[in-house]
Amino acid sequence: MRVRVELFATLRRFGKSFEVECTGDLKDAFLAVAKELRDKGDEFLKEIFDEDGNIRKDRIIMIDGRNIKDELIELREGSRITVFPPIAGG
Amino acid sequence: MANGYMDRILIVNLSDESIRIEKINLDIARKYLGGKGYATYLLYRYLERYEKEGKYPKDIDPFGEENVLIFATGPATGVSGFPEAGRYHVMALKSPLTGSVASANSGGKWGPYLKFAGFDMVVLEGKADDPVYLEIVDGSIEIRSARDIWGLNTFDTTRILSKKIGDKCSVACIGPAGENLVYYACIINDEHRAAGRTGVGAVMGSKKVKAIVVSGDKRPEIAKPDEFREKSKKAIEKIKNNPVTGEGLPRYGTAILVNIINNAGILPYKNWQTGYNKDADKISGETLTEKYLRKRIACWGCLIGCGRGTEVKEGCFQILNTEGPEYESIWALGNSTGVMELDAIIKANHLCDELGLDTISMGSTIACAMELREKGYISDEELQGLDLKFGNSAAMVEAVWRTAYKAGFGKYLALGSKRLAEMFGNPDLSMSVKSLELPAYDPRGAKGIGLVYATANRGGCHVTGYTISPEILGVPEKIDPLTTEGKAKWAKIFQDFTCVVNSTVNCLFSTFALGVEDYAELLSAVTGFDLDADSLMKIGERIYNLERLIINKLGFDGKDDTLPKRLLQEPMPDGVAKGHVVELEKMKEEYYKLRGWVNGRPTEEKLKELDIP
Repeated sequence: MRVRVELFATLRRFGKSFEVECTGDLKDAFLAVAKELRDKGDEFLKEIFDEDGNIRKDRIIMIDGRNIKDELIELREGSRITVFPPIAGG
Repeated sequence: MANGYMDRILIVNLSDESIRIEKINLDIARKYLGGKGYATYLLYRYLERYEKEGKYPKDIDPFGEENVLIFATGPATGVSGFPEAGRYHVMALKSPLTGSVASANSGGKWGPYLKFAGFDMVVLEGKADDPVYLEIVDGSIEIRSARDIWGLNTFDTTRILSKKIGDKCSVACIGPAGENLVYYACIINDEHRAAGRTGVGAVMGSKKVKAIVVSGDKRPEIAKPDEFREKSKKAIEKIKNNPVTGEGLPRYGTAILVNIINNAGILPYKNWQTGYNKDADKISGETLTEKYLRKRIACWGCLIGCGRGTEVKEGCFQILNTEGPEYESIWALGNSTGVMELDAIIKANHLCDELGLDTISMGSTIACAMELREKGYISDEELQGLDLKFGNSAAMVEAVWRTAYKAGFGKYLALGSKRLAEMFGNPDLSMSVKSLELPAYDPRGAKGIGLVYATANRGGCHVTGYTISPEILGVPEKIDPLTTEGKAKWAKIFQDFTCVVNSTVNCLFSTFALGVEDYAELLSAVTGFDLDADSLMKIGERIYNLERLIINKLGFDGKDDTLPKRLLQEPMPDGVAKGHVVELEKMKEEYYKLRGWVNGRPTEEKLKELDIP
């Protein structure tokens, strides 16, 4: 399925938005983005995954607006995956 | 006096030009700390005195002699090494906008400089016959005529008054909006910092006080310098190493929130008709940094530096040297009004600082007028040429100066959205609580902040208890924004802790990195008081309840702890929160139980438990 991965704040050094093919697994979507980034791919993966290969706890990741820590909803055709580093304000 | 305080409260009666100085009462300081807490205590004592004299709280005229305006610092303000201790708190007995207590907080350097001038607080009673300004320099006080500067904008006022003193001074002043008693006029210090909300600038204007200039070489002394040095080092490391305070905020400022709040489906669009705007990136922090940022700006003693020095180099909204806008200002002047041009928003924000207007109330009142017009409640004739429709950037910018000068339709905008909407026939289109316009988070998609809006003492306010932090940002932990479970507990904890921060007085952003234990350690070393996390939270709870007691006397109770009809009854039309409303009653019931309140009023047992007043 085709999904869109959008990056924000400091993660935009890799690009703003990526349309990728993936199996339906969230991790797979990020691997697809890394592939597109070629030699910057490894650096990108370090921003998303920890040393154990799990998604970093300090990332704010939403699928169609729903934070994956609240509910991991299923990816569908056209889903928007948004990734933020730790940010805040008032 | 080595406890952080300067041990001097300046009380000026403007009606008879008398000046008196009182010492800090340490028994009160142990209970209420300083800043907001001590000011709230002083306001309560004024209310008690007025009641004995037969003047009832509900009869107090916000623009009358009996209103009291207090500028308050805390024991930590101006203490070098105390993280982010450059702020001060302003309170008045009654806000002209809300009728509730007026309360606002500002950064820059005015707070520390008041202490360097030798004072902890300035209390303004009565009102002057002719415009005056106060000059507080190295412990001495002068009340000077402001005839020559009345009418000037905040920038000119600041520059003229600063020149008389020299480099090391700070000016807090009002602009034309405060002089003209616009209900949400603010106090501006250091040109671009604002004690923004609830019309404190209008109260200052009603007293005919144009400015307070502060300067001096005194320094607060602290109780345990060695212990403080150690705790300070630890706290500063936490702030530097925390990803929010050490990288996110310094790099992007608060505007970084635009995209995340929009993606969470709760960035109110076109006067809260929905919570998602596909074009939000046009006015985001990322776009601000890329196209308009000149430099980072920090308040006194601040390591974070979230302030933005910005410029619009060309075009009809050109402004070459300005600061901001913050997230709330971008949202209110932009997304809420449908204006997606960041240069217009920057210009409008600049005008708000120049003329002395609260950006949140300004933008929200414009958005309210836009929806009233769209739905046929305001005619074109009544607009007198101001084409207020969603997305019209030129009209939005024009509305700002028209409001400050009450010119044309501006005289209606100057009343705030609640009175405007009532006047033109649909009060439900004012997105406000206790007449204070709501800030930039739709609680249909973050239920906890809805409870905070409803129960905040000064009116619809997010900084009173910023539950967006756990609900959306995941700090200190992630909680589900779409449920009501547990939100009452979070609201209470955040509200009580924020009272501590506003009484310390330092910047709320420190709390992304520091917890109440850190505050207890630092404050113990500064004041010599024996404080721990529990006793500090008790102080916060006491302050919140005393402030609630004041607003009960002013006529507010459980019926006023509510939300606009749109948020209670109109399901969110789209986005991740589609179909949701705010189930307020459920959360309120639990909240009142936790608070020990009945119908929005603290019980006698609760007051006794907290030793109030």
